[in-house]
Amino acid sequence: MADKQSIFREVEDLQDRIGIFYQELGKIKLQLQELIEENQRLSLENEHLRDRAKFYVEEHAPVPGEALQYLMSLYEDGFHICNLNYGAMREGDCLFCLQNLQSRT
Amino acid sequence: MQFVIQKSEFLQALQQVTKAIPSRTPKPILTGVLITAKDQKLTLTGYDLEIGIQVDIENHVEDGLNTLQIEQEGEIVLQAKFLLEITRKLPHSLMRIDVQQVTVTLQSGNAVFQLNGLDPREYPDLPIVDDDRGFVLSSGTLKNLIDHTSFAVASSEVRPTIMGVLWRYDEGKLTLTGTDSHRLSKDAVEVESQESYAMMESIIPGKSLQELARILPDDEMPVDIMIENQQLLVTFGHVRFLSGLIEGTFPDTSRIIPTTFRTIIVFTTDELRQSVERADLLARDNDNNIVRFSMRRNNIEIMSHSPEIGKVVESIDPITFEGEDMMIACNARYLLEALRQSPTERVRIEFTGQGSPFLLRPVGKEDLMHLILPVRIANL
Ligand SMILES: [Zn+2]
Repeated sequence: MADKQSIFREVEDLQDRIGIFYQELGKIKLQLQELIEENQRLSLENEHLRDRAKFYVEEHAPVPGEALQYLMSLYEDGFHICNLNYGAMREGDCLFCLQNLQSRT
Repeated sequence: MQFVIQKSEFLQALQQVTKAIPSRTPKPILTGVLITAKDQKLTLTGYDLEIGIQVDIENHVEDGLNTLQIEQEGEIVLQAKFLLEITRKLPHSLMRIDVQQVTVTLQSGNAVFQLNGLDPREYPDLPIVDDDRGFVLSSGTLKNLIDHTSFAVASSEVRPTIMGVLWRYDEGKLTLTGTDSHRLSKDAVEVESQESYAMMESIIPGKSLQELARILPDDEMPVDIMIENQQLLVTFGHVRFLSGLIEGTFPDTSRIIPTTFRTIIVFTTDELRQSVERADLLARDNDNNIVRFSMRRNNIEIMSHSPEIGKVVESIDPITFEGEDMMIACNARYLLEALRQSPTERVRIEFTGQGSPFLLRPVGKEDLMHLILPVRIANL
């Protein structure tokens, strides 16, 4: 009888642990999904930046006004041009980017 | 260690410190509460390496009885979650704790719990903050400052500095600024510095401040604030609250706040808030939570639509209207959060243009302002 009891408790214990394990697994799955999305975002960002870099290397030295044009188009293409996060993709408009553009015009 | 204490006092302190105790952590000792009995004082500590909360309990006489009697000094760490649940359900108004090595006997009425404690020597030391310099505020004032600004901080870890609220002390004024780069909220208060603090700037994690606001009493209790050695220490009553700071440079926000406006409208805060709440019911379903405002001198309308559900239009009467007609679209959530942290009967909204941030100021509380960047829409 005592043995049955202890087996029962062990099974219960195992059940608890499987529950926790299952929750952990769910969390890791979410994290994985976030990482995949992040990776996609970064690849895209990288590709854009490469294009930009190539464009810049092939162009000659910028003339006045060109820098602002460049920043504006970079911003319109969806990148931060502020100190906070220069070159990173932005979501929506950014107060600091707009401030940066405004102070140059 | 051995002591007898009134259950309600112990429970209250335990509830406060558990706000800093993580439920899961790579360092299991931190899921415990450190209990220290020394110099006729009982101290409970919770610490997650970022936030630390310590509460002291001292003896006083209530209905002719001592509330705390320390019979033997010492310290122990006990699983906070269990201790809290057990304490809540104890049958008697007094409880006795008796520690032999790491075995704890907790007795109340006829109930006797025997609990396995953890070795207090493994518990990390809390950072030490010199408490001879700093400033004093009333608890209610500090709570308001935090509530008015900490909701606006960024939640993503991509830009860590703006996950915190900037505390800037300059010439007797303490200013708090929180922003997530789409909106910004700022509040300030005159403070007395105990010693002449020079200009000071620190970034304090928004999460820490929200926890602090939850345990600050809503009254005039004086609160001591110290910032030293990359730590914030806030002391009030028998509570010490510690938080690490965020290192780095907070973006310059001084030139972001517009100073010239094309349209200025004053609303009754509650009326505007309720209208936006209704518009938000449908806005929640569209991409950026967008509500639109059509503002004409004789008619102001708030609109939102969801392609699948439908649309809503509501007109609202302003108290005053100055300047040009204007169309604006913005994120309903940002607007609602700002309105909920506008504690005055009226708010003044100052618009510069469709693509520029607008200001929301509670009328009569000029130090407090909320700045929101509108959403650009092609066919407004
Ligand atoms: Zn930016």
